[in-house]
Amino acid sequence: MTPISEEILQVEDLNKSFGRLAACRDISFSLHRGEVLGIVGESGSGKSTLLKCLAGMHAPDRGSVTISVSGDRRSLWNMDEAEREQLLPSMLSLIHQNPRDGLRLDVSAGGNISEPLMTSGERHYGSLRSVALDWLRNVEIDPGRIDDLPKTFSGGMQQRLQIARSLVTHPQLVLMDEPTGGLDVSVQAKLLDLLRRLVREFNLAAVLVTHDLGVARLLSDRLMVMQAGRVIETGLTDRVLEDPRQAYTQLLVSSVLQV
Amino acid sequence: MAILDVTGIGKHFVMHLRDGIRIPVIANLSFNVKRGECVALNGPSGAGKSSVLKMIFGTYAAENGVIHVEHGNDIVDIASADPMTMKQIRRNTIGYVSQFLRVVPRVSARDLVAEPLIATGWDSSVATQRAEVLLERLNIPKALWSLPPATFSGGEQQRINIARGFITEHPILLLDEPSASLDAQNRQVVIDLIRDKKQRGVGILGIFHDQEVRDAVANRLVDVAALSSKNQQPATAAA
Repeated sequence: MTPISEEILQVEDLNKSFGRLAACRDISFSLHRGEVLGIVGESGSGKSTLLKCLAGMHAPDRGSVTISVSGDRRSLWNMDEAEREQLLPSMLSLIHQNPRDGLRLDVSAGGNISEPLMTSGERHYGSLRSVALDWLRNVEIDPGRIDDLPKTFSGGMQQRLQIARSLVTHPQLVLMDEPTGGLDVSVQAKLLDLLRRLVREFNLAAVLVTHDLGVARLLSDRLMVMQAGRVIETGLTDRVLEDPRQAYTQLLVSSVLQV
Repeated sequence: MAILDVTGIGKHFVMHLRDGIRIPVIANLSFNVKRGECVALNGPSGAGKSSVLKMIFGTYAAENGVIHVEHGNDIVDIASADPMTMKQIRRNTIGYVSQFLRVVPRVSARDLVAEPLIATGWDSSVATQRAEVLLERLNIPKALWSLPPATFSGGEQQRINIARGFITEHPILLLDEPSASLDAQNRQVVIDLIRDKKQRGVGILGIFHDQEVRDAVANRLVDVAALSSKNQQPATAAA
């Protein structure tokens, strides 16, 4: 029998407020290698704040975020800022909803992919370029566009380029913030297919924030439903969607249009 | 020795958006499935037969009772298993052919069928070959293998779903009306596939409305009684 895989992320009793508004309350969960956790909930439920606390962007008021980096367990908010900034790229990658937040628009497509590798020490121009070419093919962008600036790309291509940039260093943990938001449905399908394939290929641990239950169903193994800063329901994705227990989850599920 | 042992399971739904109405589905149901046998769930429409399969697959929570399953060298209670364990049980122990295929955008029929086998660690080219053998056996035209099944007919989608369920070596197989929308020729293929599985020691629990199929494969029937038919609300519980 396959042993239970390594724990990559552990969140304990995480709390975060903005003034008197409690955005995240008493949130605890863990995530294993090869597992995709979907976080769903309406705007203002705290899911984006939670993701920012995991991504090193918002310091929680209380609680801990522990991330395993090649077997070493590191507490994200229990180190000084310089150390966190230095270690963060080796701990996780964040895929933003808006690709322009995750790309350098004044740098070529190839440069966008090779830059994270250079930051982690790779200097050989030839191998950087060949890795960039491989990744362009991998995310279905014409390798002939390697020297073009991302601002000449369509929204869907930019998003795929951001994914290549995020995964080129083989992070163990990937955080995705509405990765298909704002894209045409046909473009979405291509992106979902890509994410689904990459998650398996690299055996990624991933946290996926989305308000689209269809996207959550397709990509996640487990779901966490958030409302007013709390996790109100959690379990296997099909269980949460087909046998929801909480009134709010039942409302969420029954509100989806069937095609 | 039973590989699936169900004792006193119960299920109801509480519909919070309908004033908390309680819809009973299953009460105190017990049965088991042994290696190499096929057990058919029997009962009128709405009796909760599909719900029983979903409880065993972990899609529905069991409110009461115990669902013991042989998982590797362990006996695990599905009614209380955590999501990680359930995920492993689905990958290696329990296969499930649902009533309808869940299509994935852009994924071809061939890849969709090979997927569960690759997930258990098989080499993808071997898995693909095996997928093609099954697609051929189920009379899916070769021209369709590389297409996503979204536009396939109901019967074709159902056969893709069957291939996806039968490709692995799961020791337990749950079948929800596998022959519902099939013609006589393909019904016979499904009967043969079920017999092959039984011969290899797989325990099968199924719902077969088609009496011919049921008579051909089932060793025993388990009656699932309809609960509170006056309380049944069409589609709400199943949605």
